[in-house]
Amino acid sequence: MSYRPQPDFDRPTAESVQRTRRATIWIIPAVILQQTTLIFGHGDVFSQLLGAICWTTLTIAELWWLLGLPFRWMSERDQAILNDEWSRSVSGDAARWGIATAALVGCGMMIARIWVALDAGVAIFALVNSALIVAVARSWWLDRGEPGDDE
Amino acid sequence: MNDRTDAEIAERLSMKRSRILPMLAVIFLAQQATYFSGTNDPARAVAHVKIAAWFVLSVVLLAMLGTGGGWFRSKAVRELLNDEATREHRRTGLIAGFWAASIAAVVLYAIDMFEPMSARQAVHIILTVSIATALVVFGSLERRAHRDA
Repeated sequence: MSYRPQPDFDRPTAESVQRTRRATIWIIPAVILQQTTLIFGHGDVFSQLLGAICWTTLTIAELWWLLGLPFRWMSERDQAILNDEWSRSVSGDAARWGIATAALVGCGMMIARIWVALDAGVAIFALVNSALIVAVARSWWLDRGEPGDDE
Repeated sequence: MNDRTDAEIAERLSMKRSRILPMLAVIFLAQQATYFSGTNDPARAVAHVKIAAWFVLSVVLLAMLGTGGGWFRSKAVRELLNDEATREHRRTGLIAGFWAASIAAVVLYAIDMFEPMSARQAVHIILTVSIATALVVFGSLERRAHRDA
């Protein structure tokens, strides 16, 4: 007996996405560290451009994962589970912490700029990724329950 | 009697907030024109005043977005002012602000490769775009909710 129609069997479900989200959220900081070595390594223009494109793609993917853009290919039921009130609450709070971090780090940079010469690329990278890491940490903290807790 | 008064106060403040938020976003963005229009020699004292003014306004707007405002009102009014729908609108606004910050950062990073800019300008633009987007989204959702009510 199957619980789902056969064509949908291998597709991700809301539950599997939630489980993966919880299990892999720690990867985001690791990916950010990896991006740093790629972008700010002493390579030629091509490798820096490649690094910037990778960074852009990964940042958008991470934000999608973290802040919950709709997964259009999923059923309405799965989308409803993934964007339930609790998920929206976690995403909203994570975004609030992320923006607050960006403001704090930005303020720190504005002040530090008086004494230390800061490169714009480094500043942008540090600003966005510090906000992203704090948002990830907040999201993980709020959503740290076991996958089966709310089922 | 007191409850009704609190509800009326909260309703009035909520209406006012929904009208003011988009205006605040416009004022906030217009304020940046003065920063980017003239020459900004970081060594001049006036540059520090401009930055300080931007920073103070940013912190106030962020605090309002983060808490929902109504700081000088009673706890009952604040709770009415930040009901579930408003909290949901604020969350949506903050998420939009976070997206806007990230997209602005990516765009500026690409521009910086060809047209170098200072770190201060980059930070200024990213935070401004983020806060203004969050304000506009939050304000427009609140306005729509009042219109549909």
